[in-house]
Amino acid sequence: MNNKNLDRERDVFIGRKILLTEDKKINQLIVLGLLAESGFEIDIANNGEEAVNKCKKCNYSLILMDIEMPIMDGYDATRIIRKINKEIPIIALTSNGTIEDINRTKSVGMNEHLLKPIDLDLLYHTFSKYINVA
Amino acid sequence: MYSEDVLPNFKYINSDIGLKFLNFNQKLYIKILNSFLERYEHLDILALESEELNDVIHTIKGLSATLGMEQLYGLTILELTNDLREELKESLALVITELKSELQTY
Repeated sequence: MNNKNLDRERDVFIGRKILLTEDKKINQLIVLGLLAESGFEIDIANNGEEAVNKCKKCNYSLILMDIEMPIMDGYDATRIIRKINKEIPIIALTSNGTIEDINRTKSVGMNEHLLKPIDLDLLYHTFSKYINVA
Repeated sequence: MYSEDVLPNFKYINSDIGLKFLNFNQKLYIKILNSFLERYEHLDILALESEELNDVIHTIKGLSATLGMEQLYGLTILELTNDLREELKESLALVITELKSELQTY
């Protein structure tokens, strides 16, 4: 993403809180590093259960959701979150990219299915699609 | 920020790919490579049980693709056999050895 576009996106995202649900610290570091200049406040959940609990306490603009995690995976977490919040954008961020994987993320209520390695332009495009300026 | 010319000249890691996926942020790239080294330096793939093995390979699949470890990534997407476990161990060892050697100055 070029600097001009990033500046424009940052104006929209600044101060907004998103939740990164990811169990592997090294993957957390990658996302935090890539989004360091995004303007977002990024909260972290280390598994699906933590994500559910955090969603009950905080009003996030968007959730990035890994799929394969210990304690509670991304599918179960999304099912539970959808019972308490039908509107919040939930974006799968995973290495699993088969048709079956994509259909499953949609069936539990996720809005998009993005793959690792992360395409940063596509990620920002997805943020822009689901996070609007009031 | 590191300048272009200080990035190690890897043999088993395609840094062009890694840098691209990390938004050409060399400092972040080196940080994640160091984290990869720390995490997998003492891993013995042959000693892992099925569930843990699948989890490790799944994670390495995503990381190796992101970081430009092409040979290693190519093995993670194949159907797992005993022979493949050996190949994965050897490929990971090459990457780890290279990282230990090339990152020691960072």
